[in-house]
Amino acid sequence: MRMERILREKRVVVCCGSGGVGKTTTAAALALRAAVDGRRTLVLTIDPAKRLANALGFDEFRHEEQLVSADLMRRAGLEPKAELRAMMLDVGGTFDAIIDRYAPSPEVRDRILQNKLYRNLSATLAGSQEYMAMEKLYDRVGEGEYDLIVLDTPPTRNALDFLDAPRRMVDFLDESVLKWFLIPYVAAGKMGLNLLRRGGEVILRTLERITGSEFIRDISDFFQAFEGMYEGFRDRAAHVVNLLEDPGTIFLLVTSPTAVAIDEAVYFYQKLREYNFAFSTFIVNRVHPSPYGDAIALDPVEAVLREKLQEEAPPAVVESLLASGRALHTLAMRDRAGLARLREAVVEEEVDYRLVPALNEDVHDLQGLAQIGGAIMREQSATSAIPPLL
Amino acid sequence: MAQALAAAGARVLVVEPNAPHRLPGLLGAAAPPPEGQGQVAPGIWGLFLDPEIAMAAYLRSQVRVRAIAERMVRSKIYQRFVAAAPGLKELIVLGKVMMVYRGRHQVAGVGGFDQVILDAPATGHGVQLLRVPRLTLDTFGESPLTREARRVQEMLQAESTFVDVVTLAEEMPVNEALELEKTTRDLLDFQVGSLIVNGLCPPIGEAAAAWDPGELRADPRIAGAHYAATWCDARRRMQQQHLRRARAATRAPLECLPFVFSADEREVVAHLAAQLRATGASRREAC
Repeated sequence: MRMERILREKRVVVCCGSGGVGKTTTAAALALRAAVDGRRTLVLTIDPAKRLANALGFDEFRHEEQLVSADLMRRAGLEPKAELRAMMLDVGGTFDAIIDRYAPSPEVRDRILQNKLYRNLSATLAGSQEYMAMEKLYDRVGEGEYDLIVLDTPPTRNALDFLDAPRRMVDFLDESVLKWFLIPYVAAGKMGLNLLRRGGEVILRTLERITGSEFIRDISDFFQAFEGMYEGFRDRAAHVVNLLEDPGTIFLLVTSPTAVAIDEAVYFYQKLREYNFAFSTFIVNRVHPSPYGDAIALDPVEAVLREKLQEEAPPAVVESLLASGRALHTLAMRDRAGLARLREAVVEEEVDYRLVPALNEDVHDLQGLAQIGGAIMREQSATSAIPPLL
Repeated sequence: MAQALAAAGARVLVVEPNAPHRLPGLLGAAAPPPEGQGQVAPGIWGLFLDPEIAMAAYLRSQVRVRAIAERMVRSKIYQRFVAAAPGLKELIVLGKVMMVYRGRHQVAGVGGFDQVILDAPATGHGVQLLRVPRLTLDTFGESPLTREARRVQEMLQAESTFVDVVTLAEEMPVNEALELEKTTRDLLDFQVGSLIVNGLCPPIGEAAAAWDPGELRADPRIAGAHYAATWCDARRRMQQQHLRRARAATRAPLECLPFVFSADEREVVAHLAAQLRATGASRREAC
């Protein structure tokens, strides 16, 4: 499916990619584009560096939806037909809100929220950030306030954490396993306890020796407080999975053309296929155009340039032109190799590739974001001053 | 950095705490050494960790009866426990570094390294890794694990340990790097070594950017070369602006590395190593 249709028809766009490839910027650019074109849009980020704030004109990011000023958009030369909102997730806060929702009483809620293990766990459980991103997404989709939600995700080093997050949460709250942690501390004499004890005691005793009894007690307290809440959590995790598999949801992969980033993008792409999530597009950021078009060998081009410029420009200028041309051409060739590697690894023919040129200035305002959006949409005006990409 | 130190005669160990492990390739080795550790280049050894495997190995070292250890590693209780215990795997990874640091662990039969370099994850995850020892001390009661955490914390706070912050001269990365520097020093209480600004464009486009090609622009090669010069020049100006900002805000020595125009990663590493070596081990202001 082409980008134009995605922004027009989909309800959820999930932007994945490794760190430092411009993923957050891309998510913001797509969201801005959709809002300008008339879809009420929310961009959700879990990026801990709070990068989006500057670009969207906020002094700081808050953990609530913030409206991007329509005036600011107009000053940037844009005519928004719908509102754009942005929000950064507060992972701990989101987890707390879920506990609040599912706890059967204020006492149970407080017991969990004050548990030492819980306080550390909510921020560090593998995939918890990722899971919370999807939880928030699920909430917002359910509320139906937006035509489109663009989700920015953590770097791909955690690809599995991200895609596995709902399943891990279900696994983590598997009562048949959690019972083991309760054994040393629940009242004796319950039916089946002896049987359970025989199986898990050695393991628990060993863990206790390594970590201290205090921690096993904390973990036991925590899981006991959770009793009765498992079902709610599990149902919700299942809904989150459904949302990711929904036909209204699509995954995009953002990358740069360097070898490292391409390898990570291919890895994530293969995982998306394994999980059967709908994937449409690679957005390749920071692609360098070659100053000499399709010329592969530089020496003949440089020889001609030297001859032509000999009497037209001072020697320092000639050397500067040649050195700059060589530098940019080298980068363009490196990028070309990276893109070839990407295309080779991708088996589906209908996958779309959108190239965004390497700009020589930061994207730190709405104009910059709009320019990125224009390049993704292949609008010539966005890149008219730049030699054509590969 | 490892190559620069090794070229000066040091024995260096580089630790990559997570897969994919890129260091062997960058230094010219065909593949990571067997069992995740070994020499990867002259003077450079690598320890390539997988947190899951490191955690299981730690458990085996703590449980005398091998059969019980194996049963534990396979058990669901253990797996859930590792998932629940905050930062446990990260602690074990840092523990490995600490063992080498204290001379209690050899890498492929080699010990006594002059310098150990840990290639930490990017900002947010990196901070999470470095705060794990303190988190462990807050979470667990007195136990072998907290004793391990205390030793790791001592290593991180030792006089000879530094956290180098590496960034690009762009708006967002500089913001992030300055925040990381502050967190490292003020919140984590570790020493910041240098703020290293990587990928700086040399002034190659300056002379040509100011030159007007006039009618010569009709030649696409001249127009292309002129575009390249203005691109390089504008990029350099933008970078210099952020470099100035970094210089004004940082309390650490600033070190600059050039952008290396090469498609060959090994060539890039060699070039940067030569540059780092030229700036010297004293890590003084270099740009």
